[in-house]
Amino acid sequence: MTPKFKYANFAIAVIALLAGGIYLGTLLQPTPRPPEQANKGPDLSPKEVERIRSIPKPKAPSPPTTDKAATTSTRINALAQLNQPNNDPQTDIRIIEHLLEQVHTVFHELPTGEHDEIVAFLRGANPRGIQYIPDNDPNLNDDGKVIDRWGTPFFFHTLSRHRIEVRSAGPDQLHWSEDDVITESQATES
Amino acid sequence: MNPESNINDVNRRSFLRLTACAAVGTSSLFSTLFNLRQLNAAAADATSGVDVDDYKAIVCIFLYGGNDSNNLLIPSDAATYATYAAGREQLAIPRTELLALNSLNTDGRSFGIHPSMTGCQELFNSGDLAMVANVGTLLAPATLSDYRNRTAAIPDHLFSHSDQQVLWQTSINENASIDPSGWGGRIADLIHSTHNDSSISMLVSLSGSNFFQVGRTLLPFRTDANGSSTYDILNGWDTHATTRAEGFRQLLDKDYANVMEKAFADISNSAIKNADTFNEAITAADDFEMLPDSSLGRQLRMVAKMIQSRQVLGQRRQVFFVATGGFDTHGPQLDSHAGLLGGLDSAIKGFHEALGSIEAQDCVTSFTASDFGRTFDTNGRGSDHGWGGHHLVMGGAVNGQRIYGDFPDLNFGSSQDTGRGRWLPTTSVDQYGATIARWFGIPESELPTVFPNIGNFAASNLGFMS
Repeated sequence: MTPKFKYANFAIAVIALLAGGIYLGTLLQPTPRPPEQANKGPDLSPKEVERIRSIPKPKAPSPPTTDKAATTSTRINALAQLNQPNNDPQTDIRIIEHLLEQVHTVFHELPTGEHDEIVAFLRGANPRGIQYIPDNDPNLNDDGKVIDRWGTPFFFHTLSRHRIEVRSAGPDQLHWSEDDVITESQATES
Repeated sequence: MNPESNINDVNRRSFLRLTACAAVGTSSLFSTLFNLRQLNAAAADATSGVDVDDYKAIVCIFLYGGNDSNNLLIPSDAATYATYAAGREQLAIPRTELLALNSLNTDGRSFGIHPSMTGCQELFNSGDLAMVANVGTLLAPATLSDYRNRTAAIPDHLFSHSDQQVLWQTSINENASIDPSGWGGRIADLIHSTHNDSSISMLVSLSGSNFFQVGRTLLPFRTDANGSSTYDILNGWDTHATTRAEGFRQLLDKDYANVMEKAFADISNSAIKNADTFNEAITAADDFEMLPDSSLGRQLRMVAKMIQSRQVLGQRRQVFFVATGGFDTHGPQLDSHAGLLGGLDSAIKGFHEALGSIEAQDCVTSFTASDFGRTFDTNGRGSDHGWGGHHLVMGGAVNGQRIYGDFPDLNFGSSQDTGRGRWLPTTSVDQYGATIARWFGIPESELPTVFPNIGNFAASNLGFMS
């Protein structure tokens, strides 16, 4: 064998080894999947994928509107646990106080005024249109007032724009009487 | 080396702890220094003497809680009383019990005052007391439409205790975030340097902190019904207390190289000495036993003593603040409110007599203020937060025996009813205060400095001061 053939065979062998290595490497590498199929579960038909893609994506939140007449509202059923048989009256007060704390967190102050004005705010008449109390909340009486477990509207005592004392008239249904229910911290201060 | 002593080793927790301690320490130190400077100023010019004939004082009597003035000033003519009685239901004062006010008003209307206010009835009928009807917080004259639409004339946070107290005392909407000064303080800012020979604050509070007396340059001097005090360590009567006090004084008498220590010692020394002078001046004053032994009575007794001691203290203009609480009468109201008004009445009457005994009635004007009026209707037991209310102004310089302002139409649904008889004020706090400020010496041109919204109102002088 001439040296010329020796070099040619060597080159062919090297090329063959490289080609074989590339082939083996290709076989061992995981096959990438299309992004939309990651964690997809069962396969979807292209038609189904297209349908899902056509669903509008959530938009970035809009800046808060200051328009008091904002019609779009966010509904939060904040009084869902109010006046439940498994709770006590003190818990009812704390539920409303917790709601007011949430309101203060959002608005940095509380609505001031009487029951109707404060409840109107909680029902959505606020700059952000947040409906903390839905219109069909069972804790609202026919006059639209939030009532306690004895059927008397709660009293919202506006101490400041940052603090409202919530009072239930208690079993005797008379406000500012001995059996009124207020939270312990407020009872201590009053 | 102690790890916490190396600044590089201070972690977040220790940093917060250290800064908190530093803040508390310096706050109390500067607070003490400030109070001592006030006391120091109190007697700094004690011997300078002043012209006793050129003296004026105003006394704010704040009724915390929101006074139900619907039962303070009551219409007594048959027709209007019937409207009153129907609206107030169980809160109505019987017509036969009203104390008649022999008003000089010529509108043909007749009024009575609450039956527990015999002293004020006497002062009114003798011409030393006037009433101003339906006063409240307003930024401009307002109608019911303004209220419903919350226009710029309507203050924020109506019907809220602390917010309306602040607004009454400052007359600036959203005051705390913009300008934490009160109209009493702003009056003092304008007058102090030209009328007082002393560097003592002309603002004296007998009832702790308040917004009314916070000036832009001056701050109130706080004392109590017992006089001024400096350090608790100087008080006490046992042997140990005396030893402690002597030790403390020796510490203050030392010669300190540190500037801060020296300043503290110097100010403390002079303040202690001057506090003694201040208290001696008060001690030398009369006892004014005509004043009742109530909280308000004791506060006004101290005011009378300071007024009597004005020459020694170097004051020609003073603004006093006294207060009493309990007026938030949501619960059963009739008896408690009668007691509250009776206490106010005896204090006012006693104060007027005390001023008479030192011939100071003509140079002192007292006026009431409160969070708000209350609902004209009842909640079944008492009354709730309202807005406009009626107020008392008394003193020898008052054009008394008259009712100023517009008494509200007591019919529910009237043009002044924002709901439940929460009266839309027809006279603003600015107008009420400006009338007093003008008498006190604030020129017309400076009234907007004291009452920024006064220009929105047609009249800045209600006429109840001579």
